[in-house]
Amino acid sequence: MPEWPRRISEELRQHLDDEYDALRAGGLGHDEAMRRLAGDVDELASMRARPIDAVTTDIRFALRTLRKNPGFTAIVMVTLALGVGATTAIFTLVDAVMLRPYPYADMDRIVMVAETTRAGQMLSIAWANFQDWREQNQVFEHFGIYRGTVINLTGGDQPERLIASLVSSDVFKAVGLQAMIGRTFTADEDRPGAPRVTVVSERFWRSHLGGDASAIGRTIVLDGEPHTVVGVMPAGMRFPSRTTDVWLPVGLFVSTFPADRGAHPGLFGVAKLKPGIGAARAAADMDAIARRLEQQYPISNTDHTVSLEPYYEQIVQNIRPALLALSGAVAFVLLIGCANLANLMLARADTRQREMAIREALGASRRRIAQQLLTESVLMALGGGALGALLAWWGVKAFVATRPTTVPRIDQVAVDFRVLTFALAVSILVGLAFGLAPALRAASVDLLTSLKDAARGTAGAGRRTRSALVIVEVALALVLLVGAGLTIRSFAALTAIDLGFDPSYVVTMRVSLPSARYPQLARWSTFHRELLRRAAAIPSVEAVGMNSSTPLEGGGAESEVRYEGEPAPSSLKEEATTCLFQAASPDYFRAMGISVVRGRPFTERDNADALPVAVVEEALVQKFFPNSDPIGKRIAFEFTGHGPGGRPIWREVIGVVRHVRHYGLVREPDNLQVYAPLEQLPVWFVNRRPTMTLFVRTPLEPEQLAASIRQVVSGIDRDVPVFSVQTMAQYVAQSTEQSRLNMTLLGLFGALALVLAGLGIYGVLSYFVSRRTQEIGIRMALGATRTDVLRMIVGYGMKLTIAGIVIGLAASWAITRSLSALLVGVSPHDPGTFAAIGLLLAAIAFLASYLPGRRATRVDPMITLRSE
Amino acid sequence: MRYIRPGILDREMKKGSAELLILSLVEDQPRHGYDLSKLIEARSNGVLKFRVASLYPLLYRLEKRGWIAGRWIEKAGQRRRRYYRLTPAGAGVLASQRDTWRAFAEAINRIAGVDHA
Repeated sequence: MPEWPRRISEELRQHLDDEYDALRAGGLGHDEAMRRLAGDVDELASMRARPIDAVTTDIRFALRTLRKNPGFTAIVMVTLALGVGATTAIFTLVDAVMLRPYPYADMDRIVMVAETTRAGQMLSIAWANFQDWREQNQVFEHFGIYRGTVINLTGGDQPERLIASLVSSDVFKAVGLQAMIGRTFTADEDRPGAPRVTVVSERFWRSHLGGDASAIGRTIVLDGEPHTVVGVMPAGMRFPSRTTDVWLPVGLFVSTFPADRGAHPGLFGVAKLKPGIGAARAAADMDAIARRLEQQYPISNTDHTVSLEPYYEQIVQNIRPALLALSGAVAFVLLIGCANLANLMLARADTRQREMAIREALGASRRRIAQQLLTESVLMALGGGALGALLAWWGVKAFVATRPTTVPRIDQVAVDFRVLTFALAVSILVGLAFGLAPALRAASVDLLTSLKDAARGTAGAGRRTRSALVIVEVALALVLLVGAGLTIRSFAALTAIDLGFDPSYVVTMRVSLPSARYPQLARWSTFHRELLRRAAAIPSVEAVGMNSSTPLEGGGAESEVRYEGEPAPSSLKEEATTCLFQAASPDYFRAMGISVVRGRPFTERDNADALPVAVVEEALVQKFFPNSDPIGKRIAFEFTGHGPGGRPIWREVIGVVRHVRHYGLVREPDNLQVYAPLEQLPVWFVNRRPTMTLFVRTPLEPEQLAASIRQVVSGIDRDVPVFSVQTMAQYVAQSTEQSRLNMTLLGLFGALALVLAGLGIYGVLSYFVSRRTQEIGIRMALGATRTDVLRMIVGYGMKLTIAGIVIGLAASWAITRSLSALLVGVSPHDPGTFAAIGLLLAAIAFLASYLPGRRATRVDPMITLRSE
Repeated sequence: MRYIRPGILDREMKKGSAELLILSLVEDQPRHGYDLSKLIEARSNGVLKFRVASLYPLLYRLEKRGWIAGRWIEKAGQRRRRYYRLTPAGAGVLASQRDTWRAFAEAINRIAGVDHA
């Protein structure tokens, strides 16, 4: 402990006394002498200068102080950088995804419209229903309909696949965006016989049309038909998808929409609510219309209603739980960091008490001293914040580079001015937060006690504050770690899910035949048969298959399925068994490594002339034929004509395969999976043929294989593009992406919290030991063993830790429920995770207490006693 | 000195000159703080006056640097005072500061044509 403050104050006192004596000796009376002295005293208090001077003095002084303690400053800045960096990075995401305004006018009035069963199953809208809804509703200002599709662009060097959307003219009005050049569609173009026109995206306009106004009026060839470009949409137009290249008028396709209200041709609605109409009011209005249609068309419309969902909701609903959890997590990290820093600052303020006391003796007011301390913490916070912003910039860049597909507007996620402002605000707040406690305490330090030697033992109040901070820190860290632990368990559960196929060494790509060039089914079949034959001949290709639907991609065509002899449904409300049906080529199962558990897969002989056959999954056998051999039984999943179910087309079951995950890993509806041979295309596909996916089992690199396949395809038809080249492993990675992201980020923040909490415990105990060296010395002199001393220190640390763990476990129990949306295959109250995290934290805390404890046992009683 | 443009130079000069003054005054005999402040005021005819608030911390700093050494001395009938004397290291610093000061003052004189008082 330095003796200079005492010394200087003694010298100062004497100086004033001497001056007083001199003034009295010079003939002044007591009062006059005191008045003169008051001038000196004022001068002593000269730090009460003009405020602006005070601030610059403070800053200069603070910088000097910080430079003098590089270790301390570094710890504080790094803690801050981590806290502010994590917070800023997550804010960047939240801002881009949720907060920043979307380019559409009155986003809050845009709703997505779909048909749905009252049981909650979402369907696309029957064309006839759409027309009734549009005419009868009182709530929509604009009500458009759209369907996403892909279309082939030809006429260039190579055929290309474009993302297209057929839209009615009201779609543009509903989202409130006008063409950048030219026009959008007119109401006339919503009707059959519309001219072949197209509106293109800004991106397409730049890449394919030279990016100038002369593009309007030019012709592009889409699916073999010339289309006139009438408009270019601005880059902000991302409806229905960010990747949409061209929009086509719905009128061109109206004739292909079935008039049957039971058919759902993939159409969805987008509407703008009239001003002042709330979503609930709109839903009620639309439901009334749906009920009227139910009366009129009981066969198709029974139990069907309208679902409305705000567009914004639809964009953010999947990512919101994750963003909320991550925001919570970084807030925890920041709080833990603040608790740590407050502790550090308190400890430091104790050791600086004398400095503060002397400054007070020199005339600084307590307010000034508090201000000085706050200046120091805010300065450090700003430094740490700047580092944090840098970390955030780097982290966000790395994150965006992984091209996560589950984050909306990922292309707009970047650290910008808004984000930096946020980082600055957080830094200042944090600086004030962790600087406040020591500042308040400094402001209330008693001058006399500090100047006296008694200040060695730390004040009880200080120790209580520090202990409380450690408990809070441990509790926060525990909650965060439990959250991280749960997401790790969840990810493990996801990756352990049986996919039903072997994704390794399978490369997929798509081939879409323009219907204009392949009007007859026979030509369509011939193309695919030829493609399969030629692809199988490519060296190193082990097996080639095709399917109309891709596993893990979200299903495909769905229908009712029945077995021969099943009692006819007794009422319209009776739940039908739903199946996912797929058109597959003979070698599909072999290429995908799907085990055929009974019977046989398709062969070349299962063609258009042969008896209709089907391969089914095990679950269907269990449901329909639990006690008998399924081979040779007949099922139907295609029905023609009207009436419930219509007239079935019976197919003989020839094989049974394992269940394959089609809807991703998180959700798997209990649709039964059935397969029909590619050349016995199910009846739905006859008019609107599916885009087939090619599955190739090969050790070749995807690009290498794609090149060979492109060659093969262009050998058959040079106007057919090959696209969406992707390995099955990539599909698997995509379906675990969100979960992996949650796990990685929460795990990262959890680890940070663990380190910070460990440091916090370590710091407080180290300080405790250094302040108690003397006490420890005395105890040891009086016979305490090293074990006793170790037990005292570690016991103190563990007491705080256990209190923190208990509080943290209780808090976790309450909080993790909100993580349910992120968890798959693990309960938010998973006892294993809770226990493991509690133990982990206790172990780290033990280590963090043991190190200072061991240092305490090295105290030499003789030395400590002598120094007293 | 008062007319030199305020700024870093000024501040350094003042700081340097204060050190120079104190070192010079304790060169011949040990002195205590009050004595030093009175001497500076008296010998400069009141032009230079140390602020109490900076004198003692300055003494502390000089002592910490090892240029002066302080010692509490009690005389009968008086309370104890801290007397400072010049250390050998301080003597070296004083010599070099004197040289610097002289050179500086001469330079100023040559340029400004002011007679060094």
